[in-house]
Amino acid sequence: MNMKSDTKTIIAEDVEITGAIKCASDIQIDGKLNGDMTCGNNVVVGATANIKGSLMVESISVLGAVNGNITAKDRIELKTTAKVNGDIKAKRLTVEDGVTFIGKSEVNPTGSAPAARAPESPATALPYQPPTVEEKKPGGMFGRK
Amino acid sequence: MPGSSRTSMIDGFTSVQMVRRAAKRNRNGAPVPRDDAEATPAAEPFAGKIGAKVTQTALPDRYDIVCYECGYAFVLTGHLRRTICPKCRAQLEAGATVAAKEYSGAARTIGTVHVKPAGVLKDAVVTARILIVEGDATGGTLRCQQLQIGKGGRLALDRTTFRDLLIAGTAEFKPDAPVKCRALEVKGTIDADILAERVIVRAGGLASGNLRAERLVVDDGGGLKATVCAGKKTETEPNGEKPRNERHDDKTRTGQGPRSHHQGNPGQHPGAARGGRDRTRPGPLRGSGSHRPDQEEHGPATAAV
Repeated sequence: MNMKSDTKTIIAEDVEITGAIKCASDIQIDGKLNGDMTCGNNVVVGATANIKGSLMVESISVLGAVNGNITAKDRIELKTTAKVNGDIKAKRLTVEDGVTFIGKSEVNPTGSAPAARAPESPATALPYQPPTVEEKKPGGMFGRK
Repeated sequence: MPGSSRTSMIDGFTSVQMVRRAAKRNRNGAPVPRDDAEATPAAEPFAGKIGAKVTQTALPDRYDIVCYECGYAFVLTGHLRRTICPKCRAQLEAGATVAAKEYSGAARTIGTVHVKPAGVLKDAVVTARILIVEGDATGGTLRCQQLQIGKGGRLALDRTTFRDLLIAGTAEFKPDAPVKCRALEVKGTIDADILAERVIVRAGGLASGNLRAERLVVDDGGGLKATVCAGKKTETEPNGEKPRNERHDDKTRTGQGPRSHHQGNPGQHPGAARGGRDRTRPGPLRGSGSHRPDQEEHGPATAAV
């Protein structure tokens, strides 16, 4: 992913946007947004922000009010002044004391797939042993014809 | 300038004093004599002394004790030891009890009761401050302030009264009944309907089900797969115990005397409102409240015991 960490968009507190926002770089919202937002990088929802819509981001830190679902590929941070009314879904979640959150949460960091085992080196691998074949006893299974 | 004839050794403090005196001179330009030297600032008596500033003294441990005879709540500081209830003068044992095999009977202590993984409670009545369940406690009637559920711990919620709940790191707790408590700390896994004042999910923990809490904290690495309602003033109904703040507010909110207190909460012990020593009612109970030693002091009678 092209991480444009040097570019950051800031939406000031007095700005009100009606519509969808799509961006690939970091964005900080301190104003009002009536619509959905898709961001491929980090999002900061400021303390004065008020968002009504869904958010699909890489990672997000919420300090303001969000009325909508939040889906993050990496992590979601709900700070003390955050007010979230909607469902959240992410790999990792951090909720500070004082957060107002109403909705469903689907965060399970321990439910991720375990790391693949490293292949054994030839020196440590056990020698191959062919499977043994039991010789049939005369007389069948019960020892008699 | 070198030290005065009265000092044989120049240290840091002396040099600082000399510099200050040199900086401050009277109108004639003569240095300020030593007797008139400014006193060291009282605001920073320990200035320059590394490690000498004391920010907080060591405080003894405080234990919230609930008398298992009368239900009176008080605070014990220092070492947890055998003590006497200030209200009913009953002697309270503080020993730790361990149930490593089948256990039946009564166990009452203001200390800790530990049900080991091989322990089984059969028709046992357990009253403790901290109860650690790692075995089968479904056959026991449990009353405690803090309930810790370890790996393999099983109990019957309808026969358990507790204030705070701790799910240990490797424990999996999936009760049939809703969990109502004051504080819930999840280090393992819990799948239940939760109604609490405070819920803390630690790293590695997982809380599932329905969650209603006034305060919710999720540490980095904690899991939350639930329908959550956090932050609003939710009605908390812990298992037979009224939260400490509500007990205190019952007395102070109305600002009225003990008579109205009894009318509003029949059967509630007057000492329960403050959570400490009762200074208003030295005599026996009056009105609708009756002295029931086996009754929970924080609220109306429950079916737990």
